[in-house]
Amino acid sequence: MRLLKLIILIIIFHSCEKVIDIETEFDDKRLVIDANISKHRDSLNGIASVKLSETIPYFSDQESIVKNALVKIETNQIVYNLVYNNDKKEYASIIENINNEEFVLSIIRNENTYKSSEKLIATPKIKSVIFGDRKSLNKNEVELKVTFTDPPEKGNYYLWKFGPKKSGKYDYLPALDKYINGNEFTFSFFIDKTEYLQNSDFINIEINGISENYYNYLNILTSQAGAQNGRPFSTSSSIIRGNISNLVSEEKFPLGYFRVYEFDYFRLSKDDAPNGVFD
Amino acid sequence: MLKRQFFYLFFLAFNLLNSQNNSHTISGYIMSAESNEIVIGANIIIPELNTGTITNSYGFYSITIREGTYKLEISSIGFKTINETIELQKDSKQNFYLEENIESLDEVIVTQNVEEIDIRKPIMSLNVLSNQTIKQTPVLFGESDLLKTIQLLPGVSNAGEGTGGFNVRGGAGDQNLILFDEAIIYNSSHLFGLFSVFNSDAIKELKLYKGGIPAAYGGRLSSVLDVYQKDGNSKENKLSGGIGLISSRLLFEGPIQKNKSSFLIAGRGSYAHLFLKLTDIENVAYFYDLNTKSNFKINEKNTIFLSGYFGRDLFRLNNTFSNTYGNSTFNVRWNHLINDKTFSNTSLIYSDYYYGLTLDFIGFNWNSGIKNLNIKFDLKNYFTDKIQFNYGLNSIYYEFNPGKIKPINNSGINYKDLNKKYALENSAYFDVVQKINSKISLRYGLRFNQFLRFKQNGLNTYMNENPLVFDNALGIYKGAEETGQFDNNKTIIKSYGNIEPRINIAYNFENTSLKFSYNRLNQYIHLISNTSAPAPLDVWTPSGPYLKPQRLDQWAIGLKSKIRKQFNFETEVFYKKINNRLDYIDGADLVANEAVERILLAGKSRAFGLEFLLKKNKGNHKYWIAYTLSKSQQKTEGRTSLETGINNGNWYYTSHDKTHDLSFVSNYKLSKKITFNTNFIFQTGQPTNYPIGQYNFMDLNIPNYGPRNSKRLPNYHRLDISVSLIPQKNKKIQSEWIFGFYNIYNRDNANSIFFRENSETLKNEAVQLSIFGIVPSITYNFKF
Repeated sequence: MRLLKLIILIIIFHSCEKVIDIETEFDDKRLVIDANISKHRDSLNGIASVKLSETIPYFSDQESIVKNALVKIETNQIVYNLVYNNDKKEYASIIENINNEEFVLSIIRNENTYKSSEKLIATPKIKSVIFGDRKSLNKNEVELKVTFTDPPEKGNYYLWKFGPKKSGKYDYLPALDKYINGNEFTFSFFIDKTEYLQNSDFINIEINGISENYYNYLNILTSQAGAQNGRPFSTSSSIIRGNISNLVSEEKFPLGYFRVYEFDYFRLSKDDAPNGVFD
Repeated sequence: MLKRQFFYLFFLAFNLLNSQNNSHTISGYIMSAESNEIVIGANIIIPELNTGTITNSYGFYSITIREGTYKLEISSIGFKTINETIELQKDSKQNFYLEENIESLDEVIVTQNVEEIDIRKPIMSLNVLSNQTIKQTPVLFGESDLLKTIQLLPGVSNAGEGTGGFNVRGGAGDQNLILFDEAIIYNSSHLFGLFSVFNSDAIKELKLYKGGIPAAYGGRLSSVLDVYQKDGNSKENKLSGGIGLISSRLLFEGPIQKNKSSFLIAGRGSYAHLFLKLTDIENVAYFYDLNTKSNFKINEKNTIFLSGYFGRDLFRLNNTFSNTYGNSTFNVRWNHLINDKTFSNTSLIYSDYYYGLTLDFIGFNWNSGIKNLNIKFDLKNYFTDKIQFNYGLNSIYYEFNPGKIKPINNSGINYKDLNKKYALENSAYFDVVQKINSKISLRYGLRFNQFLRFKQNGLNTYMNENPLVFDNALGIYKGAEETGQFDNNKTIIKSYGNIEPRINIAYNFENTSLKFSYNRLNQYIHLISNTSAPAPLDVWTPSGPYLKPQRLDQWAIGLKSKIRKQFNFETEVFYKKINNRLDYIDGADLVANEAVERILLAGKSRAFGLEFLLKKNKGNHKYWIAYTLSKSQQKTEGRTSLETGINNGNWYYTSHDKTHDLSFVSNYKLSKKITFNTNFIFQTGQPTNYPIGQYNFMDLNIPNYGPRNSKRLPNYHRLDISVSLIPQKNKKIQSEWIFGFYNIYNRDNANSIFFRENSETLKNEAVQLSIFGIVPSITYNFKF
């Protein structure tokens, strides 16, 4: 909805954007944890990957990857010690036989202990994805029509991923079943044809099952990461807290999130697109 | 107990009516000689007695004085002053007709008492603007605009260009009571705040109360914007209109029965495809509104008024989405003179706000809104020339539609009808205007409120009646699980009652009046909006078991003075504090939220400031300079010591806080044909947020923000100029050309600064968004 208002505003105003020089402060060096256990909905085993970094000044290019931590994931039966992978710059491990148990993430670094626990969240299948012919305000945008069936129980939340783009990054769309519970549902997602199918010969459409809490978290995150922030009708921006706490010092809480999810994906290639779209 | 006293006073006034000897009442209406349009706020002065009175909002006056022969001086801004001699031997009725003063150059008429009566009134923080002032102020695209004009007054601001609504003395956008011929308007803007819903052709006058609000008004905390429509010309048919860059206007008025009844119809519409040429996709964006009014003078004692408004905004983008929203109002009012000293008005008012949205690409229809039915009875008793009593009763029935979703094209969206909410707001007031002696005047009153929230379906109950829980470990708020539903056996599920004192004191010496005011107000309905300014989609919701009414206390001290007979000078200091101001937990999803109590926390807000206004109302060069120094803040603390609250429980600036706000508005009449109008505005930049760091999450570059609104945009300033030309006078048609420039020196004012990762370089950048550079305009107005 916010996006809609934004679209309308942009049309109305002959607005003018210019890049300006601004000095920002930096006084908040925090640990950032991007921790995931993921498994395909048709497989038993999954992968745990934990990326650790620290916040850096807003206009800095210096990545601040953290390698000196002790990262483990425990269930009632097994303890997995995650190993740092230099290429991927993350801690990783295979997790076997994932079912509905509690996974506890713990990270020890510089005398701080960070902890979080989550359970697996399932996902439905993607039924189909096809190219559509609706137009958006941006001439470069192409419609994708995505169909899936929401399960009968209420309160399902999803994260949709579309990509890769030229930069190797993805577009994200958090979604919920509040309006569509239990139905087969088709929605449109508009992709930028100058970004997609450029350095890759396919478009990957992925669905993840997520919790309500993570849905809320992502909503704030994606709106603050996007260019909407600070515009008319934007909401107040703030520091965003995830689901990981620091057991030693409450003040030094980490950023980021730990989730355990199931995914499904669908692939489209250039051949699936109507003629002339990606020339 | 208090209620009993109130009724006692009510009857006492009547009993005392005949107890004065040798005094008689002169009463009647003051009207425009040209059109019989009633004149609001006209002064009737009796210089010999150094007394006088002012017409009410229906043009009625009444004054009781000792027997004798007196000279009356009747005046009003925009009209020629007239002098009449009356012989008062018995109670008498006398209507006066004033000639308009548009054609000729203003003469500087130096009348001793006219302005003094205004200065001496025990009322403060009130600004009155006439239709003429609104029309002369240069504005964007040349579309004269009431809401843009009031923002040039001290104490009035908004959250930036391209945002709706306005803010009075640091108050929020939903705390303004906007009345259009007494009907409540819920959304005052077209095109997301670019234009107001008021067609200035159809407006007679507006009053803006920023503080010291009389007991006759209630229901919103920060201000009352009382807008009066024209009644229509009951002498002859008139057609007027205008053609501008954005919209065209047409107004037709005339007698239904000459000198007895009249009608007025005014329409305004913008051009459909105006904004959307930027893209080649078929699309539409426009707005229109329609104003109607008619009045019937049944006899000297009874007049009936009918008035209505209907306005809509429409956006459509071929088969992707369409959007419609707007207000509609209708009312019937009956003015009845009980006797020469007692004027009554009874109103029946309906108003609603509708918002509709169709998203084809997702496959649903959405609509939401609010409706109300309002019954009002007001009575004014001009007891003596020293004391006036006002009483009234008011009852408003609300129906809130939080939202309804209908699937289209078998889309897989479920039909969902969010439960409607119902409430009744009852109030009664009395208000006394009293002249104690030549130095001290008072206006004091009480307003009693009762708010009843009725039963509805689907209202949740929660453990410990707490809909919002705090997760200590993670330091975040979460909506609680519902434990059940409210019992629907009781019709009324929650009620609130409040007494609101209102006091105004004026102490007069020489040409100066020292004023003090205090008022308390309660607001029972809230606009659910977590954006920086009201948006069309925002939904109103009533107080109830979880949401408490907002309460305000405001104190103000001021000085109003006349300098060298040509200038009015006003200065005021105010302080206000508000309890139970709602704030939203981070990431709150407000759309179609059935249980908003799960995302809301109650906080406080406060504002204080110093205002100056120097106004020259006479002569060929009229102008005003307004300056406000102020602070507006909000704070939401945790409910227990473990909770963080919002923004760590610290005070933060509201998004419309502007430390310095200066405006200069000038109107210079060079000759009968040429008038120059100028505005200059300087404002401190609005509060905003800059990131204090960044990090990477899911390959997304996330800016990390610090405390709310701790930075500011660059200062805002601009100069607008317009010139109006009246060509050679034609007997039948009066016409006028207006050429203007908004932001003539093309200042790149920052509407916002946002932060993003450049999609090409993948480096972070700060981007300033400016909306309007220099904007030329041309408007043609005609009347015949």
